[in-house]
Amino acid sequence: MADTVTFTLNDKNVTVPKGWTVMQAAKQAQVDIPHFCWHPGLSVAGVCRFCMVHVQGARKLEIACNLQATEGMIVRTDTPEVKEAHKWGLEFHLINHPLDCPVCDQAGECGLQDFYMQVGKYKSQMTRPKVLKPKAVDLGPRLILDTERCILCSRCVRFEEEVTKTGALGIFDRGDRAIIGTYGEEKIEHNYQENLVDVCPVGAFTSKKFRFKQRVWFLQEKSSICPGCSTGCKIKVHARTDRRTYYRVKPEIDETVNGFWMCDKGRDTIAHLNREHRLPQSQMRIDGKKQTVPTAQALESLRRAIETAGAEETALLVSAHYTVEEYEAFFHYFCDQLGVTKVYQWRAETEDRDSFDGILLRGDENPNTAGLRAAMRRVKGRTVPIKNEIATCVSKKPKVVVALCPEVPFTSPWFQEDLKQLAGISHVSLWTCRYEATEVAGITSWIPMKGFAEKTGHFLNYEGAKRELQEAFPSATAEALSVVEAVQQMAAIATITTETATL
Amino acid sequence: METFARDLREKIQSELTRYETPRSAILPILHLIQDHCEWIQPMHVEGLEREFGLSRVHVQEVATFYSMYRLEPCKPFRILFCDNLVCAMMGAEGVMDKIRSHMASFPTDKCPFSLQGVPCLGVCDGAPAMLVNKERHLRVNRDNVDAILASYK
Repeated sequence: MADTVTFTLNDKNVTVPKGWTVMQAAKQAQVDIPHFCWHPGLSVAGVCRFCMVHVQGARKLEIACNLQATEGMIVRTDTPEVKEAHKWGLEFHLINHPLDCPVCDQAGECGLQDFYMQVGKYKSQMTRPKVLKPKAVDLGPRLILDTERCILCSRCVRFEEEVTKTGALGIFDRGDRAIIGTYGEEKIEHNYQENLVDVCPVGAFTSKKFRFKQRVWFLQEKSSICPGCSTGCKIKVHARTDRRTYYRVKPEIDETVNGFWMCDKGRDTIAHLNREHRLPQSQMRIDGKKQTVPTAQALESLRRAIETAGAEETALLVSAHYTVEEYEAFFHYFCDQLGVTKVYQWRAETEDRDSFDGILLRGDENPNTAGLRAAMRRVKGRTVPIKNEIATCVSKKPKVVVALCPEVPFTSPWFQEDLKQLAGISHVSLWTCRYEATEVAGITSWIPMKGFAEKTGHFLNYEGAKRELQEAFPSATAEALSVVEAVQQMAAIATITTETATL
Repeated sequence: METFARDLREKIQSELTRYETPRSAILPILHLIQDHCEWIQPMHVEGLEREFGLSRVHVQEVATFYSMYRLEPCKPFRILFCDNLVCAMMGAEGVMDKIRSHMASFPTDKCPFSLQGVPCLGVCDGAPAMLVNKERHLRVNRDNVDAILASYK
């Protein structure tokens, strides 16, 4: 028995695994079948009646989402009957829809709006007034629900039942009074709330954080990896490059790791990237006073300090927030070329590293623990146990410390407190993107670093899988460098200094 | 404290075993509760989740979907008036208006009646038809309806 079936879709032969629906096959064959309630990550509900297709020999139109493809089936998505069905399906969905697109966050990425424009049934034949329902319902710390915009596709209800298994949402009442909601005044509190905004094909669920902040068509998207924990969910960061402002994060489909989802914590990982939280330029403490200096000057001073103290008196303190490529460049320069051997990890003192919420979030809040561990194994020639080593670093009394600081503030609240331990060391150079770092006494220089969304490279996640930061935004602060760039600059300065000396 | 009296608990328990999934038993269980307790209160819905493991969201979905479930305390006399085709042709709407004005003649909160339009009562030959609690009245019209209602005290 063959494991595949071949059928005809708009005159094209399509071969798919047995058991696939026409909808799945159409997705693969890139044939567009309009739909609302079907979602690739959820079960089939078949309630929106919008994905109608024509099957030769069938008495009436069929819904593609629940129709298994069979050998020799002849399917069309473009017959006049199908178009007529779309027209009436849409009219039905719009009977009580408020059509408030001008004030709706979903406008620009709304299924209803898209199909409305496509089908072009602009004029309603309804003469009766629309049914009014609750608006701006506060449904959780991150959620607002507009029940008038809802088309009752039940995607959110299925998400709650099938993915988070919390089952908090239901469809109450019936007919044109039916509304989505929770029982009583209950709020949705789990860490996956904003996936409800993502699965909602219309503007019924909107995100409190993104609400009224930006029109979606002004946003650029870049593919990256969430730095919030060691799972390494594939994400799209949405920003306006003209304003150098980050607005939101959405999950990108990746069946090997995060499927269609990501957690709410991960969505907060861009807050620190905006300019108000960033170290804008290099700074140095000169004669006890903090001053803005050219990055070259700060790096040169670091280079001199290492030369004076000697490589054996220099220590590297490294957090697991940087890419494999950055560790490679960093250790190649400091260890292989300059001869530094004191290398220490920097992470939370106490962490429940192996905990897992059963969906995506892991207790290891560093995106690249495995990558840092591999890089350290190379320079140390042995495997080091994973733990915070800042105390060990300080106890060795180094004269110079170069610190690759943790990037995401809410996963490293211990950052400033830990820094105080470095106060007695004569030259401390912090490589960081965080403005708050400059508030700490006893530091010699601050070098501005790029955030995760501003560089390419890769992390190794909890199971050692390669997670690629594919695209980079220009940095929100012009002076920021990746570790690779900083190391290159430092090496270049060194060369010039040597050349000048020879002349 | 347990939400339901012992005999009701036992009946609910036996309904739960009758179907492939406990969720399927929600309809008959809500009827049981309504028969025992007059109306379905939030504490019943929550009790079903706490004591029988049924999701309160699922229960509330069913309870709000069907108009035959009472989600508010009921008046002594519940009028169910057919508002379907045959009764409508025989003047049901006018009779219901009459009932509404009869109800309005009572001081607020003192009206012993509640009125609800319902689908066909299955006695089209006697249209317009209504039920008052479990008593059936046929050929109700604007002239006799006040006398019928007056008999309920």
